[in-house]
Amino acid sequence: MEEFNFTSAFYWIREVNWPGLLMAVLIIVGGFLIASLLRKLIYKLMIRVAPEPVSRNVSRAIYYIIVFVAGISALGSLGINLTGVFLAGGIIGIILGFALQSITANLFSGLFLYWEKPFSPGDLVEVSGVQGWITDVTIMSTRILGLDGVKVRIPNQEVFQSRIKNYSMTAARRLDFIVGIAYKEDAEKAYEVIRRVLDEHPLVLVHPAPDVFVEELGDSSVNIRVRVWVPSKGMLWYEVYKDLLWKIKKAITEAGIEIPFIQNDVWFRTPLEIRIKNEEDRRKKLQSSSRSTHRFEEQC
Amino acid sequence: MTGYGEIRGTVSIAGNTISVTGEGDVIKYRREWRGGEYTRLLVRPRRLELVPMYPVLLPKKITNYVMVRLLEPIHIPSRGEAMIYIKIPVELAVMTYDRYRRYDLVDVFPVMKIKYVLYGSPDRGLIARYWESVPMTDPPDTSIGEARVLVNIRSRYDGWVEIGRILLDSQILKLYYVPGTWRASTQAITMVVNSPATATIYYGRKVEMEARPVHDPPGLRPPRILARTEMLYGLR
Repeated sequence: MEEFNFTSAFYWIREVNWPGLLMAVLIIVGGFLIASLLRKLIYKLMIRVAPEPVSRNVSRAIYYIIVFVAGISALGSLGINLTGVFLAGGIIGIILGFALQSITANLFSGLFLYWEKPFSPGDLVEVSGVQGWITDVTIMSTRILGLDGVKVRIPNQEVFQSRIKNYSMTAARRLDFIVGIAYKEDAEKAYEVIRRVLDEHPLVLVHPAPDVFVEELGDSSVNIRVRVWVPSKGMLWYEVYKDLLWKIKKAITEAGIEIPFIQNDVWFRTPLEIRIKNEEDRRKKLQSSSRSTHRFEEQC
Repeated sequence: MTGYGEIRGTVSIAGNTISVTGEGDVIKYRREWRGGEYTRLLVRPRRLELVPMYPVLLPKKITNYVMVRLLEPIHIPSRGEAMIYIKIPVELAVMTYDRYRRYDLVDVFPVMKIKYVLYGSPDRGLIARYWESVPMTDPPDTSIGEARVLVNIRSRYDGWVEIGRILLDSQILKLYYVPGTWRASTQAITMVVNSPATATIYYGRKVEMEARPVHDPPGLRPPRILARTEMLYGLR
């Protein structure tokens, strides 16, 4: 068994950079203390304005960053050359940055969505061309239950960059219809009929008042635009949309107002000769029968 | 039927025919109107009663508010007061009671025309049941589908204020009725005008002493901290 060498131990103790070691310990302990305090403080501040998972993750990330910086500083105070570590860390960071680009983008988009709050769970929205109800908003993606009953997961980056329509954010929304009547009809009579239908419908709001006006003199009809406001709650607007157009059509037809089909009048430069085929056939038949009678008489 | 109260056999009310048939434990409730029918089977009901109901349940419950447009707007002087009566619409409801006097809503149907309105702007406003009423200084008689509201208007504003609409919250509003008649009323309302565009509505006590309170349908009246309504989007 090798004996304990007091000389070499003394030498090692004498060689240790005690002030640097003390500084490193102080930096580590101080770093942990500051990181813990900041973690709690940031969590308490963020929970007031952001959801719990975001507050927790952000405060935790700040904690680890401070601990990492403290660790690096402590190693530096011990005189350890960190150039290689930083170089390796930089290369790894670049590789990770490329590899996790979309994840990072989704993460930050999720954070911005949390702060901006363009929608909340339960809202009826249209995001990236998908219409439906928001079921869940996570840090990475947004989940929508489509109107067709299909659940769609959209990455937050796409949500953040797309145009978002939120139908639940307002108390009322406007619906537009086009009703075409024949040119010979009285548009004011049509207005009256349409206004009566709108007045009888319970979900067409009194205010903002419905708007009915001739919008366009179309190719084959006078186009009347009907604008109504309905409550946004749930799918009421859809029920009104389905119900109202048919009721307007029925009322207009009952009032004797013609809703025309698309008509095209074709004009010819030269007059056309019109032959009635049946008449011609009859003539040919008559001629042939008279010829056969004549032949029969000759034979007799 | 000539008033609110117990339903027996077959009765006709405002274009609806209500019949209660069957013997034993299960009875059949049927309401027929032009172009429709509504039926329910009821197990051992002690009685069925026709009562007035808050006008926010039809065609679906989409709001708690009722907005009354005054057909003759009222001009109140600075720090002035006025006492008026208005009418609000009520639906008709059929309530069933069991032997422990627990109740449930069986049916609600309209008597008056149903219309809704947006109070405020589309992004910050609210939807309310719409009704038009002439303000009256004497207590008016109510017919089927109407309830009387006593409104005390108090202005805290230094200047004339024009009042053309009153917003009521059905979650705080209380309906009362006198059985055997079509008399229905609410508790007294106090409208405190704070500015030409804002007011606060406070809900007081019942006015008609002989009237009975309507039992609230489950879920209509959640507990509230402040029993008042703020009118923030204009009084005209």
